Amino acid sequence: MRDIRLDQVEIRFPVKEGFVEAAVGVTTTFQSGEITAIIGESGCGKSVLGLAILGLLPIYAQISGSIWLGENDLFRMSPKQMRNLRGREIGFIAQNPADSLNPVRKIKGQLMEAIRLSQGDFSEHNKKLYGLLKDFGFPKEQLTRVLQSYPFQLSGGMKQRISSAMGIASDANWILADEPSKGLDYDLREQTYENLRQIKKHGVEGMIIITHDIVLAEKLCDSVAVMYSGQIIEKGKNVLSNPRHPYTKGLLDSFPSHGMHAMEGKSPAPGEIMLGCRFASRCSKAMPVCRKQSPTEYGNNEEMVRCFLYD
Amino acid sequence: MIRYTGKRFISVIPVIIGISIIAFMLGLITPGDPAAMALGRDGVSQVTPQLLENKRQELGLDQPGLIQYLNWAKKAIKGDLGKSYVDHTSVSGEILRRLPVTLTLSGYTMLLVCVFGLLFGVYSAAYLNRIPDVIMKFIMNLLMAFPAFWLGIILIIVFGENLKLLPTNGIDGISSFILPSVTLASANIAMTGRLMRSSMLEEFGKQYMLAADAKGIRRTQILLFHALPNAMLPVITYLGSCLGGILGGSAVIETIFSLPGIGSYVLEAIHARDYPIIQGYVLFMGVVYVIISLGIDLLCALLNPKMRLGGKA
Repeated sequence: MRDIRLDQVEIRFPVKEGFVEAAVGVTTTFQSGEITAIIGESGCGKSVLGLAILGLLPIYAQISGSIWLGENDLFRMSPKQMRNLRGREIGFIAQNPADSLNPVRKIKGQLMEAIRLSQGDFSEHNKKLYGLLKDFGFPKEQLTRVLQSYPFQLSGGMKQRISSAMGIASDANWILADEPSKGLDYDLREQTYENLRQIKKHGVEGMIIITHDIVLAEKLCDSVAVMYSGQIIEKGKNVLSNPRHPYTKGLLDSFPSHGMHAMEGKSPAPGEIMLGCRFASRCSKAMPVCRKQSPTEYGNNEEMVRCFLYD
Repeated sequence: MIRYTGKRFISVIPVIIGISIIAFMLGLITPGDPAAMALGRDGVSQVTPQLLENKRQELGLDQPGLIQYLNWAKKAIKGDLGKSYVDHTSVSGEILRRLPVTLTLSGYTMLLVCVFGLLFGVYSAAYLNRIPDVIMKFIMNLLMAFPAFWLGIILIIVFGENLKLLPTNGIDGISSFILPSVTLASANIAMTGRLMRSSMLEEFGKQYMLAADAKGIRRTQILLFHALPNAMLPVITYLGSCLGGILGGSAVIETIFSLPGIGSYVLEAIHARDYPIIQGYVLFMGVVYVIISLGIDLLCALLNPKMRLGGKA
């Protein structure tokens, strides 16, 4: 069982006025055997972090630090090695399944493409194709029709299931899901949760779910990492029931299921250079030290908070 | 799809009528009296009003325009485009006799455009902003900047006169078509290549490409089986209009390389103000063009599963 360990990961994008920092010294461990959620508002850098783990950042992104998967530092691997690692080691479930399938190709070809990367010969692959679809709730009599369909001929829920099946089609050990429930209505979200549970049953080593969806995090995830402005500011198993960082509290209160109390202020613009804690200007509990010094991480690998209140 | 095909077929009819009116008007509004010229060619040196009047009657020029048009259109539908004023040969007969030459030239040209245009575009996109892309972009800009007739003359000098490798005029097997089709294709290859490149780049930004990349499949697979089928659709539409341009553009090239196609036929007719030939050419080419674009539209619909199966146009 191999964890995914991030060590001082910095990701920045050059822009006209300098740099936009999407990840600022992110150090954390995604434990194998667990489902970890990364939550945070739009623009906090969580999707970029996901793309970095997959080696899919745009060429102009500047990266430093290390992402360890077992003995391999993903940032030091060649593009070819990364390509071999994607799908086989880390499977990806993209947001918005409707846009993630190629519109002019049949489902069968798109699934087989991924399945062919796994062990086995043609007949095993074929068997696996049908097995996968059955696992994701396609009744037997529908299979042939679904496989011969183009994406536009399938319902949203079917596409969501296909897209989840595709993530594990090449026997990936880890699964990374980027906002799997984003923009889906209630029924489709419920199906997505079911699909993610199904994936867990398939014996993956671990899962990282990047999400806005607090219900998803509550229902499925063993631990939660909260991101704010390019940093992980809190992580642990009880983050949702017992938030410690003032930002986490504010974020949770702002969700509809928690009364929808909006937080004061705005997150710092990407690229804004700040002294002290990045949340200090919005924090009701800010102390003088918060504006002068950046808080370090208090706690350990599993339970961590980045706030002077816990010094 | 059947309904769509039917609709497209019906929509073609008014276009063809429009083309025929324009083709016919050409003869009416151009200066110079065709009757007088026809008399001149018959060897009549002293043109009397009586002779002119007889000639007009003979050619049907004395009737009102609308009647002339209807008579002309009625014959055209039957495949009779009239007779040349100059040598009295049948226009449609001559067009059909010369058609294979023009079609062969256009066919080879189109083949070059499809193969190299797509190849250049995909190759360039695959190496975006790297050296092969920069070189390809330079070559494509250069090809686009050359006027076809200039390139034709250069090719004749180099491959015909100096190296004596290829024939430069008349028809002598397939080799006669190499230089003309390269000449005619060059600018079109460049245009197609650039369109293909930008169309590929547009696909690169789409979510399904990221998802395909995340699957861990090979890059060539992503380029050829994911990006290309989507990027092809606008390029095929363009290739249709490109073929129209090639058919029309062949007139100049046929003349440079002395190929007896319909292009050189109509250029001679323009010099001689031989209106039936010009009218016949405009009508014929117009109809060919309309049929090609209809075919391309249907091909596009066929390639797009949403249109093929969804029934929506």
